[in-house]
Amino acid sequence: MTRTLKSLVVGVVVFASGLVWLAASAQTPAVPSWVSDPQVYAAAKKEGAVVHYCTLPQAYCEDIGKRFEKHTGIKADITRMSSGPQYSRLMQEHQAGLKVTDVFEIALVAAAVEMKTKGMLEPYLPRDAAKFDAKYRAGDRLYNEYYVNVQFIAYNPKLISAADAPKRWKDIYEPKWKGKLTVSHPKFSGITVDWLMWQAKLSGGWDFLQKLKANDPIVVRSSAESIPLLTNGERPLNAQAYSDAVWEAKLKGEPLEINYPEEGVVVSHDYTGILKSAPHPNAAKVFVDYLFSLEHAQWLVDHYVYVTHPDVKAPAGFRPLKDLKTLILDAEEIARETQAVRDRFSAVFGG
Amino acid sequence: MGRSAGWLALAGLLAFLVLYPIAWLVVESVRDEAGAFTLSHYRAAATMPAFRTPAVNSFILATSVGLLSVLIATPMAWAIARTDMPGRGLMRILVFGSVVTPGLLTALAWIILAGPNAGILNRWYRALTHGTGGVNIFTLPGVTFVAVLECFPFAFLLISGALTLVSADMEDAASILGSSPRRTLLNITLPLVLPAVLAGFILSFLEALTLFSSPAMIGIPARIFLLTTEIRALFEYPRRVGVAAALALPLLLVTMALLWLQARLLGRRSYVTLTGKGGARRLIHLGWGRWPMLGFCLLVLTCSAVLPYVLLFLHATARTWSAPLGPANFTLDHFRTVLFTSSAAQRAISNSTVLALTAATAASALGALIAYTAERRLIAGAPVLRGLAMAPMVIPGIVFAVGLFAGYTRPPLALYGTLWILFIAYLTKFLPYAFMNTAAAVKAVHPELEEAARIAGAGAIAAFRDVTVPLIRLGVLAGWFIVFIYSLRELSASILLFTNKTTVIGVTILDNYEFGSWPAVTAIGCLLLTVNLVVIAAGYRIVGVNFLGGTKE
Repeated sequence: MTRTLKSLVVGVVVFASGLVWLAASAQTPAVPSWVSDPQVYAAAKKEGAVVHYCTLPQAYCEDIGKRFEKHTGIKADITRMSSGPQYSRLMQEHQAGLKVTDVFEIALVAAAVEMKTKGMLEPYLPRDAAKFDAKYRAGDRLYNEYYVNVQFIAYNPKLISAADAPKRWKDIYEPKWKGKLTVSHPKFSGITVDWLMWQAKLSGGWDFLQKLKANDPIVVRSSAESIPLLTNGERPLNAQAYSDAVWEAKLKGEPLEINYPEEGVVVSHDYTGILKSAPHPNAAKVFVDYLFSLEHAQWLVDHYVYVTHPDVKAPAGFRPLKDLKTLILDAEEIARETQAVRDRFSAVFGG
Repeated sequence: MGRSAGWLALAGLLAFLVLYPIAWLVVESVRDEAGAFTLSHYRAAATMPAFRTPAVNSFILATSVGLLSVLIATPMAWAIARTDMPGRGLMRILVFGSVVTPGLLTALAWIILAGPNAGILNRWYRALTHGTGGVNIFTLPGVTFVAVLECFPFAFLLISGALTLVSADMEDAASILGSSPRRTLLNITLPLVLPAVLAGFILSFLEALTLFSSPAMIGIPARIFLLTTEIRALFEYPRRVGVAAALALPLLLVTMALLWLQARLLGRRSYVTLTGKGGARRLIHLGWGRWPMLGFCLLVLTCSAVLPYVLLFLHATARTWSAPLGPANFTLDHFRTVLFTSSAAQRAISNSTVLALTAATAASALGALIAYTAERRLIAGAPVLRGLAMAPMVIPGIVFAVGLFAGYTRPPLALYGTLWILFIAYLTKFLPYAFMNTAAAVKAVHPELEEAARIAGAGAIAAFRDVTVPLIRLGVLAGWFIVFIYSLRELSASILLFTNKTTVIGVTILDNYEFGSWPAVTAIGCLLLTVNLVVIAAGYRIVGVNFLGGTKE
């Protein structure tokens, strides 16, 4: 009993000193080097907060928020939300005329294009955006990308040998993978649209859907949802494995190996932009400045995210974007084709 | 005069809570993007082949789940409430366990157990038989199975509640007149609980019709698309809220029709069984039949509670999923992350707790008053009141949320971004459960008890407070607990209504599942179940009634 009490007291003391330390370290530093406009920065500090949705893992969101707050004293409220629900939310806020969200980051290209068409976006280009790889830069200032999603093949080495594992996209349609695969439904997963478009381009038509169906895949809503099914052996082959979801599992020691297909990895856009209705318009700009800083880019690549900044140092075992053969589509083309791709998929797989 | 104004104000509040979002739903269903009148959404809903299969699938699923739930729940409730079957206390606890398990966790457990390739049961079976056979959860029977596990406890609650209210007088009378126990059961007991059985069917049918997690987690993978997942997809890209509303409104008509049918079938007969004349309840001796009955109960409850709990706990403490479980693979990291590191999880837990406590209290108070008003016909149009209180149950949460969103985001009720909008959503959505439980209790209390009080000089309010309230306490409490548990894990309405600051547990769990973080799902799941069980145990001790509607032993 007394021991419990003692450890309780020690705990409280440690906690309290932690608080004191936190308060002391919250002293605001000078204007960070990555800020585009000091006047906007001053206004942003008065606003004091920014609300952001993104598709990175929640643990990353929390860390990013803390790091941003440490630099600026501005509180960043960052929530992970996959693209479909995020789009739904932004649209309903827009239709109701609510000012809630400042900054979004969405992997559903068609949704970003629609928001642009509807005039919901505030043009903004951070100064440092010029340092990012021009190949991935969007044509206008309404939304931009500082990282992309990369899809490749992942397999469970306990159940599939390295020699046997598919090395090209077309290998996954072989009958021997029957009952081993998952596929994401493009109605729910944004990045699946360009994956399907590339499968059609590479195999010269949409017949691959029938071959895929013959392999009896489990249909999931997001590629990330299928990673546990891969590591626990239920579906040992995943042809839509992407970036952080895979690395998170791999680093935890789950059995998972990666093959970068010979034809190239499928690169999907992930767009960030500011809403016209942003309740904190200045803080939103400063926050986007931070997203486009080299510091943040390095932090992301340290967490196995494919940033488009050429100067970052990749962690061991991680092949950075510049070392990969890439398959990438134009945003307008994806947006134009999205519904047709979904209809083709639904005609074969239902839904 | 003042009194009846009070009842009318109550009816007005109820009408507003229920009709305001439904009215917005209707508006959304006939309005195009520019705000002009259109019937194109109904045309799309009726003619698009993409909705036909899901609609058929959903009705097949709901009907089979309703039937199976009643077939499982009726003998189980009878055995637990009225017989000398051993282990009845444990069985009750396991039924609690099933009620408090969110569907998402049951579905996850059964994916781990009965996945066609790596399912634990399949691996065991193949190791034993050296064969390749086994079961596949990713099928229509698989979805139905998990849906039944989710839905049967609600039928059980209703039927077991009714069984304990059947006074033994009538059964005794039958025995004295020479009826065999079997004949007594079939001719006396069963007809008396028939309304509850029918209500149990309707409840589990409607539950199954509006389920979200098992259709999403098992249905879609099996390429069986159901209405709820299709409706949710309509809110994503490209957004077609009008079509979603047009698809959802017919569901509301189905419920109304079912409830009307129930009232017609049972309305004319009197089921007042709890009178002021006492009447003891005795346990029926089953003889050797006790053991098969116990086996049956155990089998069902192992599937619905024991296995999911064991799996969740084991996996919530496993460092890697693929490695064998054991001391080397043991960790409390997932709990630490959820409780101390993840501010989103912390916020979700605290928001959900506040919402569950307030919504449960408000819903059971409101539900009791409405049930009393409706059953005692204190104002004209009591059946309308009843229909209103039940209406929210059938509208899929997500569609109801659209109505709520449309209604509560504009002045003077701009509540988006606050917990208020979630509170109103939970209160309205779960009111039917509070209402049903209380209505059943009120129905069983003969007005003669109150009349006796009135004759002895008590006022109407005093008679209600001192006579009726203590008698329906059990039903009100059962309602409170169901609303509490439902609110704590609510998902389908919250998913449209939450914001960063107002995130809740259900959203956090689904989010982690969609992003492949099974450890976080299991850790939050374990915490949620623990809280639920602790709250129920505390309630049981403090209040001293059996929340499952049985008699206290």
